[in-house]
Amino acid sequence: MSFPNGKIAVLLCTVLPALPLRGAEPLYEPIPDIHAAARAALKSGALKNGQTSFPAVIKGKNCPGTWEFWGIEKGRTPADFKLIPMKFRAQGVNKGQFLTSRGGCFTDLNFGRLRNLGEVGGIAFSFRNPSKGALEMELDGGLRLYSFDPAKPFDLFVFTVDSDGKRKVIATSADKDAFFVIGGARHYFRLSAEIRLEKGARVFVALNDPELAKSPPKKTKAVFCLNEGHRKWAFLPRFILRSPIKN
Amino acid sequence: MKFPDLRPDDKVKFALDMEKDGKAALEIVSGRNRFYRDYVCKAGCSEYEASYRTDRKRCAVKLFCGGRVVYAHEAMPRGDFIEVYGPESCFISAVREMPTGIFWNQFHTLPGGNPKRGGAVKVDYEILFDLPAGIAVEGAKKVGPSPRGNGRYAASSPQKTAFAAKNWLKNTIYAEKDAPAAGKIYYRVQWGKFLQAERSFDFKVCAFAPAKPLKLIPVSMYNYFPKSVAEAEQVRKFGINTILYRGFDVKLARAFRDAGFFLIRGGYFWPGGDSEGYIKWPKWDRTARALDVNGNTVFGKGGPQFSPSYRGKYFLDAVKKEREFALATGISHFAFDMEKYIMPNAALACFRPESIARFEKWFGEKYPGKKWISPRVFEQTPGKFPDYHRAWVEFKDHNFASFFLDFKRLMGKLPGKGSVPWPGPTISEWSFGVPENLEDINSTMRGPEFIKAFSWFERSAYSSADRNVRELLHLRGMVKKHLPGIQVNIIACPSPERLDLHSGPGDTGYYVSPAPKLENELKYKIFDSMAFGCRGISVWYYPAMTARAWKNLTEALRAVGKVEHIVVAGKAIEGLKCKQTLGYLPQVLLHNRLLLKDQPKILVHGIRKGKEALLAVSEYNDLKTFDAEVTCPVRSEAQVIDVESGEKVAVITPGKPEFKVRLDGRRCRLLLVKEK
Repeated sequence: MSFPNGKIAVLLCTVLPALPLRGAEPLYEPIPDIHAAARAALKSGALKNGQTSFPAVIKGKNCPGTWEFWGIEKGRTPADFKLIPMKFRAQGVNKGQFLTSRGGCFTDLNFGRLRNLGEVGGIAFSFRNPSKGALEMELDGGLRLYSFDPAKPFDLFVFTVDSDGKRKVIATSADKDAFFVIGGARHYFRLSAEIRLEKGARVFVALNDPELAKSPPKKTKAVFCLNEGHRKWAFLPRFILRSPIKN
Repeated sequence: MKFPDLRPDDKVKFALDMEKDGKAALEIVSGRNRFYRDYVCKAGCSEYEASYRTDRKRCAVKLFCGGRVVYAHEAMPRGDFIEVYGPESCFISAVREMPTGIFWNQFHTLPGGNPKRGGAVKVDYEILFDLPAGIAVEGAKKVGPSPRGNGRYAASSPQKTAFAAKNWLKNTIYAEKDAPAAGKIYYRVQWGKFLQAERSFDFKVCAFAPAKPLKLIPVSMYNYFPKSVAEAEQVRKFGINTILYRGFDVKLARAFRDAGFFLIRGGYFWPGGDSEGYIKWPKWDRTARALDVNGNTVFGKGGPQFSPSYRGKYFLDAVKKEREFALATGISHFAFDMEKYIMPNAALACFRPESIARFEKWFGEKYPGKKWISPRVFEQTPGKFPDYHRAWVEFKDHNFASFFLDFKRLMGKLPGKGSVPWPGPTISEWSFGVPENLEDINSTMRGPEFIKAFSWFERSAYSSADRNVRELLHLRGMVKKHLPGIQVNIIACPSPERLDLHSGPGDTGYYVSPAPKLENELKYKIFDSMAFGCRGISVWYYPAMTARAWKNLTEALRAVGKVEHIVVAGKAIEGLKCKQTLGYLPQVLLHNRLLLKDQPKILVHGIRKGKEALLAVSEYNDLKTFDAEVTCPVRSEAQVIDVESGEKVAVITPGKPEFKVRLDGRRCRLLLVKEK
């Protein structure tokens, strides 16, 4: 964009007056990712056997029941997904995993793994709006995919579910530029979206493998990673608050 | 071994008996502070030391040598106390209106300290001084004679807040007419029944006289933000003619200008007045974020990295605000201070659609007829597309420069003569690095076009005067080699005292220089900078100003005032020579990394404007008294005059351009060569 001299004054006068510089700075508050939140909840004792959700700590504020892991029992798109919550099972001190009742999908807080036990076809995690009002958010970063065959891509979705159960797809792996590759081998699902979460709504990041039933049983089939590139934000699924949480 | 009375600035002393030359490292961990110091150790037994500060938590000391831990110790301070630790030494001003500030390193073990305010706790206590007659502490009451006698007296300075950090607590000290030239000041804290063990520091009294402000060369100080003209007038008496202004108070800014100060917007300028704008804009506006070749957000300092293609609302809003302020005040120079903070991951960026569109336009104009390939394709494997990669790197430099050129263009014409002695709007940047190759430009976005966009670059001179002049002369060579035809103007930024002033043997800090520490180092740095043609002086920074630094600064400015017309218009003199009667230095380290071999000990350089030339002749290593034999080509008979003293040094002619100048206590002579 260039500024021909004659148009400078017009540009300045027409574009600028409504823009506040001070006092009304937009919010940009990255939320500690689900992996970090689960580790923190486990350490603080907020995560116990049998629990399905755990808190996010945002700017020192505890927001219980915010993060959850899910199995996708059936369905090919978010509209017909049947979601079942995973339960936490503690394993020793400060260790544990979320899993479905038969372990068809589970996460050990590093990787989300999907197995063919005839139980589920997909795996997901979600963030529930902890605010009393609507929340403006951004999703940024990436989700590392293991056992990924570009010829037979899994279906990946970012979608919201509001308190009435209404679902809205934000992004899918069918989108142009949905994947990026590092080093010619590591595949990532790009997470880059602006999201408005109504009160009580959840945003899901889901991986679904419709072909799972055809593969040999008990074999780990699809994996995504929640802490790839620790501290390298481009490779982590990050939610960023753009409007404040109202209590 | 135990440290039962561990205190914050206790010294760690150790002796190493090395079989051969090697390196050692000391690590001290105290609370959240981690302190490292590297040592270069010579074969044989040597003693080393390091000072450190601790807090209420455990303090762990580890000494590494030869890749293993050779000593480890943990300790913890005991009991409740408040203590202060003064400087290692101090120069006290003999000018009553310019007293000396003593910033304490304070420590307490009281509960409830405010971590955001240096661990502040409200508590009544006193700092007890034992002072020689003629030295006074502002606000302190005389409480009786000193037990040391000799006319000394005891004084008590009441305090209401205790801190657990450096530089939060300050006392102002001044010397009266009958003050001794040097001596010792004893101090300790009394808090109820607690009495700190007495400590002391040496002082020297420095007197300095006013200096007339320069007319053509801005002289400013970083971190000096006066709140009124009267406050600024105080330092103008001593040569500070420029105010770095950061706020938006039109009345105050105009008052500075009306009072005759040069006014620069900065330091740490960023459009809109927020020095962290380049961090905040990308957070606020997604279109201001740099993307990598894969389309991911590139992260920099504190959040997403800034895209140089951004011209969105925050940019425009900031420009409008700056323009309105500039129109109201006449401010015309903007001093950026970005260093590498703005683009720490410049090598990864920026592949925003806006940047790619700009590249397509630029590529079409620069390489008409060449097939267009998207950088998102060829930058995946730049080695396979060397021509395109080169074009992309050139564009990155162009694109970054365009951001600043657009800022200047949008600022438009400003009324009046401008707030600095050159027409505006102009911009400057702190730090200057010569891009030596394509990769330098790729990883910084700073190439010839970026350099051309800035009128001035500020350059630090924090180490020795010796390193300063050698780096300046090296810079001139590098600019000639890598940026031919590009004028690079430098503003000299010396520190009041060398930053390695208290370095010990074996220290390897960035600013450590082997050249001896001299009394007039700041003055020499200014002389060398002026004879190099630096067009401004910006001392970094005001809180570090000592009485000795004021003395050096005023002496230097009195001399420079006589020749500033040459400084601002002079061009480097070719053919200046000096006989190396003292021989050569086997090696010299510049920027603490660049090794130059067989470097001359005596240095001479200068600039010429018409029939006048300004030379600096210096020797900072041997410190012997000798006559330097200088050859300065002239076109007619010329007098060589010492600028500082006005003393006539020699008369030279085109047939006999050699002259001798004595280097004695004066290790740098600023000379004016005046042709008939």
